[in-house]
Amino acid sequence: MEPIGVAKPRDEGTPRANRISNSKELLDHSLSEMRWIISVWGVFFVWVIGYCRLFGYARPVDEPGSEPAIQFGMPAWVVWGVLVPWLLAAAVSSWFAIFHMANDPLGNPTTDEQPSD
Amino acid sequence: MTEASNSALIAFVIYTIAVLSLAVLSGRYSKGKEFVGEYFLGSRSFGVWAFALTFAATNASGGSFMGFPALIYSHGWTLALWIAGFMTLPLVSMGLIGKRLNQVARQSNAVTIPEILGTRFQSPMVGLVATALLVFFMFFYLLAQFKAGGKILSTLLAGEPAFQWASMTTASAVADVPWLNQASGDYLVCLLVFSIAVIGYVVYGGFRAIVWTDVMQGVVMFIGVVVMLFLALHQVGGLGNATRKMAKMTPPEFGTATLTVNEKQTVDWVLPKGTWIKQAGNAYRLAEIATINQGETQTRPVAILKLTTAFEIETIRTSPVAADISIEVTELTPYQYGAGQQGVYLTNPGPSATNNVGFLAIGTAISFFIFWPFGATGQPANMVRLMAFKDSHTLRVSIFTVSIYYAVIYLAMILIFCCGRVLMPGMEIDPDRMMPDLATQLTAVAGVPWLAGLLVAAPFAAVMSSVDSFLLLVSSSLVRDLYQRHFHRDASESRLKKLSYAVTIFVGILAVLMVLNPPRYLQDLIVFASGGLAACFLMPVLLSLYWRRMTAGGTIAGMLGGTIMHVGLTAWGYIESGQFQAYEFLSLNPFIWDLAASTIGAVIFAKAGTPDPEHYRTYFE
Repeated sequence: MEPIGVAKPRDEGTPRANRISNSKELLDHSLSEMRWIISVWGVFFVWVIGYCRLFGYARPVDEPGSEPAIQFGMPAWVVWGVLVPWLLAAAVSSWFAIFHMANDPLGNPTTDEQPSD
Repeated sequence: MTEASNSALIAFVIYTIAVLSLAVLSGRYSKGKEFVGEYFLGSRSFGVWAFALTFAATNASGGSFMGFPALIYSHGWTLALWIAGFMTLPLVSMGLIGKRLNQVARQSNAVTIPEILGTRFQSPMVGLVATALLVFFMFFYLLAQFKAGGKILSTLLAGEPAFQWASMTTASAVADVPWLNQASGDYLVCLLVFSIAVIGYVVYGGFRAIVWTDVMQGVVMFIGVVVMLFLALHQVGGLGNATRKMAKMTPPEFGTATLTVNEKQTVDWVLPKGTWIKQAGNAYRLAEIATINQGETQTRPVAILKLTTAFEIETIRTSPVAADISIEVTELTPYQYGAGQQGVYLTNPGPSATNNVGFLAIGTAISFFIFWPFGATGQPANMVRLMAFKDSHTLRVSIFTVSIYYAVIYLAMILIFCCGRVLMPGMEIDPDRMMPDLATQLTAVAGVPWLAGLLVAAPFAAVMSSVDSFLLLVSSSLVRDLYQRHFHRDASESRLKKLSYAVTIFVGILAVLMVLNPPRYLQDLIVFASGGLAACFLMPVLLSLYWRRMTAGGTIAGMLGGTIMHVGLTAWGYIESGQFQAYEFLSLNPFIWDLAASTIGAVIFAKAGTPDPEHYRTYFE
């Protein structure tokens, strides 16, 4: 019986698809993907926070009673500071996940075997 | 409200039957499989739809369908910026650690987060510290969610005659029972019914039942939101019309008033919460029940809301029950930010009754854009799901699926409840009722009142999906990480099965007993617990997965560093304000500081030690 808390060693003799994946290959891919993901997050952070800070906060010079700009039925800052980046983020996330992320094999599920009664 | 309550009751009964059925099916499906892996992790076999929807549903708790609509109604379009961090949540929380966590979990034969960390460093101490901190924070989270479940159900069923009878009967039955008699009858009934249902299906079905119910919840949420969007836009006359009307709105005022009649009453005259009174060109709404007692002509001072927007006041008529009532206002308090300002619902920071810098200062907006995606990455409930998908293809397609899913439901909810702001004035008296009341109104006007049942199913479905995950997380930590790891490594499958069932029931009952008389700051504990979990686990797990230099000492220091900073900032906030809310140093969400403390602690202690070459050879080469 496999004791709990002990990692399974790599099995060199079985076919690649059935082995626990090469740790280094998946690790390298994951690190590269992490850099991409954090960069993507950073781009949208600057866009959303920057645009909304500049155009979405009420300014003292605004005339009382003047109406904020409205586009497509929403405040304009929501359109260009939230809606458009959100749609783009969904598109970029989808593209990245489907076409860029590596399809690394994870290995067969491992199981505990407890003694039965 | 009665029609909403009827629909809610029917929806709840149907939904509960459905989840219990799924639990039974799940229990049958699990027969013959290895118990621990199946009960706590569904045998790591989930495909795209199961994985994507359980991940999405877990992050969308009751707050998404009760709290978020209430905030949109109260503060306007600024909530679009507040929630904007969700746009990268799927990519960050699934892509950052998904594949690597799943691989390391398989390699270390782990079904829990403490087990992964303990096995990664071959350190029982790491596992023990992780288990203790996880159980500590998760238990608070669990208490808050059980209370939320009872509260949501009680809110949804208010006005249903059968429920009112049950509430009064229960209140009478426990009137002389210590501890139980501190809670209201309606809350007790809802808490018990909700708890029995959730504990029942979690105990019997385990992780697979949780995932399957999450799939059902995810579908319910999606359909409900899309239907509400079409109805709301149609009935408000288009989004542009709603926004232009919001541009003319000014925040209401809260206050107190006494209500008077000309003649002494022969019986008690009760005016329910929500009653409208129009007088001298002003519109007032009761924020609590008012009673003119027998033999009297006046109420004690009661809380009221006064509208200040001209076109809203024009639409209000005095409620029939208050036809002969005159109102005398004794006190009015304008909003701290935005009082009297048109356009304040269209811009940041949004109006606020209690905060003189508005609802969403820029520092808070920055903090939430960071917290939503990275906080979600650090939640153990999400990490456990990342251990359960079957292959990389599932993860990749799920990122695509959840990205689309979140874009639809969160953007739609902003539009829906901005429309709701125009359609239903005066809901500041009880903004948590926004979702069920708007659903009822929209479907009634559209001539399909039965549809309200589907729409109001979303909030308590969302809470159920959170409670079940947290319950199993606590249970798995105690059984796997504490009992099996430290007391009885060779426990048989039969013993583990019985223990898992017993611990899940025990934890659930304990949580219910503790929230029968919930502490005052329980809602703040949700924020405390969720922030604490992310502070404690995000950086230690991230560094353990990706940094070969990481050590057991660094992991423990990272977990404790984040926890100590989080607890410290919360204590500081309590001393400053008297409320159980963390102090926002430099106006930043405490999560930022927690993460910094965790990272610094982890890196310093890891560099001070020497990693065991055997440990990292297994995972890095």
